[in-house]
Amino acid sequence: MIPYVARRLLMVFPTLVGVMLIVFFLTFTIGNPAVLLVPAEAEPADIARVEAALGLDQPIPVQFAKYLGRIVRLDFGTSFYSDGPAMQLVLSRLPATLQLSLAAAVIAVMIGVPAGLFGALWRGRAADMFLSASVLFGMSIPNFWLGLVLIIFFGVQLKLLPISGMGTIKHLVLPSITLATGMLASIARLIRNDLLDVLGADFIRTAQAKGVGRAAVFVRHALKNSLSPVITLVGLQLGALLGGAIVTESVFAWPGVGRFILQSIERRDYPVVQAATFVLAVIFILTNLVIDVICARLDPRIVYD
Amino acid sequence: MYTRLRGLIAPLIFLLIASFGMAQRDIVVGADSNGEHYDPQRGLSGSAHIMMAMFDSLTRLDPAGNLQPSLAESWELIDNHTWRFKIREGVTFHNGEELNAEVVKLNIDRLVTPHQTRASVGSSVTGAAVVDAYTIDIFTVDVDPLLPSKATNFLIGAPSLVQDPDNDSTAFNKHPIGTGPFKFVKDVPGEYIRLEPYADHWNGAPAATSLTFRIIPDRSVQLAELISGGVDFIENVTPELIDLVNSSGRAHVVISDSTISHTIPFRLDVESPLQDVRVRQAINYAVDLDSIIANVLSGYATPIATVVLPGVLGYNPEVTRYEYNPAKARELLAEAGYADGVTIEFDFSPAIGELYNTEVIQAIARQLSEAGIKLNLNSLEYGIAIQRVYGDRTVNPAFRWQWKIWYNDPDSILYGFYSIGGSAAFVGDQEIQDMLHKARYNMDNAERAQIYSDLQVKFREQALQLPLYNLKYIYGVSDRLEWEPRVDGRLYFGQTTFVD
Repeated sequence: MIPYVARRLLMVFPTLVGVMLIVFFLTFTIGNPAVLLVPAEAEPADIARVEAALGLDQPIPVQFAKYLGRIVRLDFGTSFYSDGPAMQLVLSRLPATLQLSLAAAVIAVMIGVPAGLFGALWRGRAADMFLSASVLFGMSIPNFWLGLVLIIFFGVQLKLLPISGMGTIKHLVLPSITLATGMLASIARLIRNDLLDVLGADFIRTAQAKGVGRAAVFVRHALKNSLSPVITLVGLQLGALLGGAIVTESVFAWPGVGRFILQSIERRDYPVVQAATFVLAVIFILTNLVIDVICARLDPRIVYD
Repeated sequence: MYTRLRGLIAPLIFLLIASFGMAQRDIVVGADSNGEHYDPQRGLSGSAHIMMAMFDSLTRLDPAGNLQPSLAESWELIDNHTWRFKIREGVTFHNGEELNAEVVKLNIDRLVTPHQTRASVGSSVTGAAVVDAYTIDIFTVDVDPLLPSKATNFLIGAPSLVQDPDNDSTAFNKHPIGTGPFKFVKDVPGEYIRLEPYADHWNGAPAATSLTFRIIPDRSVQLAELISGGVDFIENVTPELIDLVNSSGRAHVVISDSTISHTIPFRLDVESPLQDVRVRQAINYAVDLDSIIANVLSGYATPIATVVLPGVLGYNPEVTRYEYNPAKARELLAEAGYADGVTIEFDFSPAIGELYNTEVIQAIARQLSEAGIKLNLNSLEYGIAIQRVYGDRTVNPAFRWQWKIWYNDPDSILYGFYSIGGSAAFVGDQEIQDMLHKARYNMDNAERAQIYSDLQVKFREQALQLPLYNLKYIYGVSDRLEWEPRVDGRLYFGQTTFVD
């Protein structure tokens, strides 16, 4: 397994280079940051001076060479707006995002997995119908709307929980529930359908035939087999969540990476956009790697090739 | 025994009430985004409210927009390239350093360093020289009648931070030091910035015990925080929510005039039907603005006939709007050879134009279509819109725009758009160019006012724009505060008092 992991880790580099290439050229399509940095009454000469100060007046191949030279040293330059090191600015937002995403993932798994089991065990009954309806609701409800409804109900009317911001554990409740809803619903549905498939499989009948108890069949044979798609799903979703839950972060004024990236794109703050994309790419790639390894441990059918 | 107890309890209750009263003197402002930077030489945009709390400028505008002394007590024109400012004595920075002419010079030196031109607030300034301890000369390229007004943006930072003109903004971003009514305590990016009053402020210490700008990007959430007491102040309350705020028992709305002109300028430098003055006039005749203001904006706007607003230098009250006359519009179109209708490409950004901007544009498009003018609406992201206007100048022949008029002077909004070679010059009329130039480099205010007044007549005749309206600012303010709005829309809490 170690050579497999090593090989996968080596693959990280070409992937990152590809990502950074795309990001570099995409930043040029979103416009010139200089016009946004100067006040409205600035004259063309002012804009030209700002371009020169930022190095944006140089030919694109030259800018590209400099950019490559910087990122191999993990130097992403300084923010056009605050002069702070871009990478440091991005990393300073990461803990808030980690806290929110992990809380959401925990809620989604803790409720989604039992809900899915419940649906599979009581398939076709009223409880299952209710569950399926809730799942549909959970998957289709937009985050910004759910967030606002929760705020109005728990924050403004009942005054039980803080409306926005970060600080105490109470501040975490509403945003993590909002963020967890979609993921929770996907997990519940996936585990229910998967379990139903597995419960009909030959090896389950074999296990029952050889006299294994009902509970043992369910936990040791069925559940274990249907876990790996769930882990893959959680991994992918977690990767996406770490990229910043832009909508949820905006609604709850959560100071995470997602909102910061959005703001930086709006301001054309290239160095921050590039540093953030780099961090997210690394997180996504590593999350995927960890998930693949866990799935392979769980499922002997997966071989490291 | 009881008397004794009473003797003990009474001061306790007093203390409790007193401390409660103290705690009630914090001001929390719900802000859209955190400050971009806290560097006084990099301009105010984005961080203006926070910067104005921490820094003073050489001159300042009062709430009505009139020029007043601030760190400079008086100023006079010495010659066509020199303004002399008398600096206020006895002013100290938050770190105890003293203000004098030398410190102002350090700030001006840093302002004109090439790499600091990002701000370009002082684009006409070339340098400064100390005359005596409290007198300084500021030099300009040409005669600049607006320099004392522009000096409202010359924020003065502490000498220890501006000494090296090549310093970037890092030191200021870590710990900004000015002479303003509030001093820096803590900045948590994306969460809040907290300030506390500066007891030795030259204009008296503020009444608040602290001033916090909390970052809440979503405006509905800002409102939820206001009516449940989480914040004391928000901007941008929409008209239909005014009653909700006023009946919350915690806050009320404050409505104020603004100096923002909302308009639709036309490009004459690219091929389009708009190059024909009759088509531009037809557009002006075909829009029933009163109905749009009443129905879309709930009446919270004033129609304008010219982008130069009442109260601004050179405002011409004799310039009127084209009356609503769709039949006349059709007639003019037919004369111009568009009897079967005409199609105009139109750019707008939902982020430019504020309140119900998109709805207003849809209403205008509908009214125009009834007169045979079809607007092809292109919605642009904010940065792209700015880029198309000021950057590569690829904006469509008609576009939605808004201008904020600074220091009650029209130069800043007209010069860039109507002088030839201006950053967003799309008209290219030599006569207009000459008039703008003559007004810009002129110390005679009466003459300047006359030029701007004449320009508005020309603008109307040529129908260079479809002028829209001037929107009101609608703020949500805690019932605890007595806060005064400003026509420039900046939030200033140095003079805010509390209802006791």
